[in-house]
Amino acid sequence: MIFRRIDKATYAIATIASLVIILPMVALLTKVPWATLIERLREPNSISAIKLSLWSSLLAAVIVVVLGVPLAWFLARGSDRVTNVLRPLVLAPIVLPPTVAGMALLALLGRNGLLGRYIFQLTGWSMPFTSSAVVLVGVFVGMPFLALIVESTFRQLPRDLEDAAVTDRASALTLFLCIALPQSRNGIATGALLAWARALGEFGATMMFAGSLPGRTQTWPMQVYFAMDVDMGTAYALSAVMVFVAVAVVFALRKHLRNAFIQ
Amino acid sequence: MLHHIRAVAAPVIVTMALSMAPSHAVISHKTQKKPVLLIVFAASSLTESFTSLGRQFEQAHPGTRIQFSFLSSPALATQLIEGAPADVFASASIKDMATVVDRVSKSYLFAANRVVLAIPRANPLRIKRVQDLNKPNVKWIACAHQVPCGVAADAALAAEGTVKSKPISLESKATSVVTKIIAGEVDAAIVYRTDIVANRKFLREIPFKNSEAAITKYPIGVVKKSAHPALAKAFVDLVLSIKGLKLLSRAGFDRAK
Repeated sequence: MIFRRIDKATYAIATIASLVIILPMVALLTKVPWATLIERLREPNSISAIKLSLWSSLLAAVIVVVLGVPLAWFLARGSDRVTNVLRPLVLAPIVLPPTVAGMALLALLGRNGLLGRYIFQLTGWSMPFTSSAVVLVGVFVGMPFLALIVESTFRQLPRDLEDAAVTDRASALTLFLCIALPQSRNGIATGALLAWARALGEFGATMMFAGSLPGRTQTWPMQVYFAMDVDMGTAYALSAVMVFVAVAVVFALRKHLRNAFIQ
Repeated sequence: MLHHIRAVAAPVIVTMALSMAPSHAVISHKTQKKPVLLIVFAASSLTESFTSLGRQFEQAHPGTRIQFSFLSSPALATQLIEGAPADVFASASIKDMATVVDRVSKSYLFAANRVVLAIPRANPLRIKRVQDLNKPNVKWIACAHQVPCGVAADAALAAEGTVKSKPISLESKATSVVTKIIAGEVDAAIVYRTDIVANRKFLREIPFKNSEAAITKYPIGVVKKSAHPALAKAFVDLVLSIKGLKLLSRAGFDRAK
């Protein structure tokens, strides 16, 4: 009888809160031209945008895990003097507007960028307007979410197991790989999911840093933006599928999500 | 667990609070009389010209402030259809004005513009003709097919018939193309002639052979639901006045025939 423990005011506010989030998505679904949904999604620009977004965000998520989990371990176990400075810096993209992220990446890797200048002089290659730029944007905006969640997870690990391993002369690497990692599966899965979702949804920074070319840098959210000016129906169709993907992913990982936050 | 997340989030929240502080300062700053706000939706290629016309208009109409929204014409048309509050709409193509025909009272053609190939003054890849876009190292961009500068670029390229290479990005509006070529991110770009005129220090133009195909025409009109129809009409009149047309002509626009 948990319901009886909730007072009426809280119940009402929780209802409003849920509606604020759920109603727009329901409204979106009412606008979708279901009869022509499949053919709208099969337009070449729609297909290429969906494909690009899926593979680039997944690749970004993999890179985020490979780089971000060790970062989180460092933040959890490193010396406070360093981590107290490093943590706010690496988490900053969570609050940075995407446009600022786009400017920052251009400033670093554009043809006249801090590093990009030399890369371009040496190789004639520059990152903007390539698919790798799309992936890098995903890594930049997604990494902080993984670092935040996984560091929290690492800090919650029971110390006695670690202490026992240290007493048994386990190396620092063994400690990380064999003790910390397996116990943090939920946190890592959740962090990876949030990073992936963030990378999938990024729009502003991608358009600024990667440009927009169907098939190469025009992502799913970007295609929604462009379709809106040409054909609202296609924009709604592309949006609806995005809603399904989002809800399905959160639903599939609901256990991991819950476990990562409540242990 | 949650406690720790809070600890990590604390600096983040402080940053947010700090970044919000100045805007509060602006809001609390009281002006004596509330100015009338005239909202003008204009194609991004009109940014410089309309900004200076807007300044003239504000001087001639004390107590009026003009708020511009410069985006691609189809994006602005979509916003109008969705009920965005605007008083004037200036489009970079007849087509995008036609999509909002029931939202805008009579519209007038006030200018024409043509796309050209822009190259940086330095031009390290020695691009001399339009077909040099086919050279292997040349990275070039243009506007997306659905915006007026993209429609004009497509038509100009089709008429030229010699360009086989593809752009590396199709940008959402004319000004995005211009900023990227000026920033040196690309070697060439298809932009409006007015963009060359405004950026002679950085850019040179190579015209397309068929200049007729490269043209787009600009209509302007008062939005029917305008809260200040008389003022909106006055702004449209300023654009269509000798003074307005002269300013547009200096900026590199052609007369709309």
